[in-house]
Amino acid sequence: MFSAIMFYIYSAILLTSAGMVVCSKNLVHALLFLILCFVNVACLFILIGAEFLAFILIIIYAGAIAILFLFVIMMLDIGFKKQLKKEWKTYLPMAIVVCLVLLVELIMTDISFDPGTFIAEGAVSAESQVSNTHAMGQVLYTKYFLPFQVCGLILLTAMIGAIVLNLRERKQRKMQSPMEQTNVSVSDVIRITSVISKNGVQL
Amino acid sequence: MNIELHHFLVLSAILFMTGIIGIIFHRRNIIGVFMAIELILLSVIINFTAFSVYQGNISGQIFSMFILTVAAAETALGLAILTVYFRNRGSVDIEAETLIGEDKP
Repeated sequence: MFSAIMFYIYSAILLTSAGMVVCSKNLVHALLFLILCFVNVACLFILIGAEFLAFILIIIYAGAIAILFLFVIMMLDIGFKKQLKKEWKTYLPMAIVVCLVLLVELIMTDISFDPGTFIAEGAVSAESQVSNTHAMGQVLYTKYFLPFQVCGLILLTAMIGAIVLNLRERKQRKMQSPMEQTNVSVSDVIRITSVISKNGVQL
Repeated sequence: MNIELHHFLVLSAILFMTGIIGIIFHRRNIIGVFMAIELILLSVIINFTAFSVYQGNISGQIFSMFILTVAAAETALGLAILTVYFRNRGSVDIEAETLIGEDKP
């Protein structure tokens, strides 16, 4: 009973803040509501016993992705308020039609779905003796080892891509060029002249 | 009264729909579209995890983690492209961008 009440509270806050993400005119406010969404989903996950995913969600989404969004929003100067007001009415009928069809379909499927009749083959059941994190680790590093490595590769690719995209060469910047430094030959920097007395050196 | 699998499925369906609405409404502003995509991915994660917990199959949670990884990579790359785009064009208006398409009549 208690868990049901908590579920409804969390879902109400989640859906409200998701609506605010969509409707908010200020992008920073929208982002803060997005963080609220993530935290609420994490609470829901804790409620049904998927603790590891809940904490990962808070750490990665609220801690990393949201901050990334915040950086970009504050770095770019985007005139946002006028645009949404114009757009709102143009796309409203289309939005309502698309979303009603989608929602009705999804909810009809969800309600008619009977979980008892559908058990996947080769299902890896969680052992009830160990904690959620322990159970995930047991599967992640054995059965899903290759996908786990591929995940690392994806993150590496994204990291390199982001760095390469945002790397800028500034023309005015004073910096050493290691290649030129090492390629210098003796004749470029040293000139040997025989100096005649009292005549000086021609430069 | 217990929470069933259906509760979570309906919740994630509504969240998914909110994300779709967000994409439609924020067509001019690509950061808004990104946030709406995050909402959609969140609803998918809820779905995976709910199935995983209610069917006693831990694989669903593993796949939620993979989705999270891909979402993080996607966001980082998307925002990097966005900053480069903004530097070159001076706005993030995706409706006006017809560089690789036909000109608007």
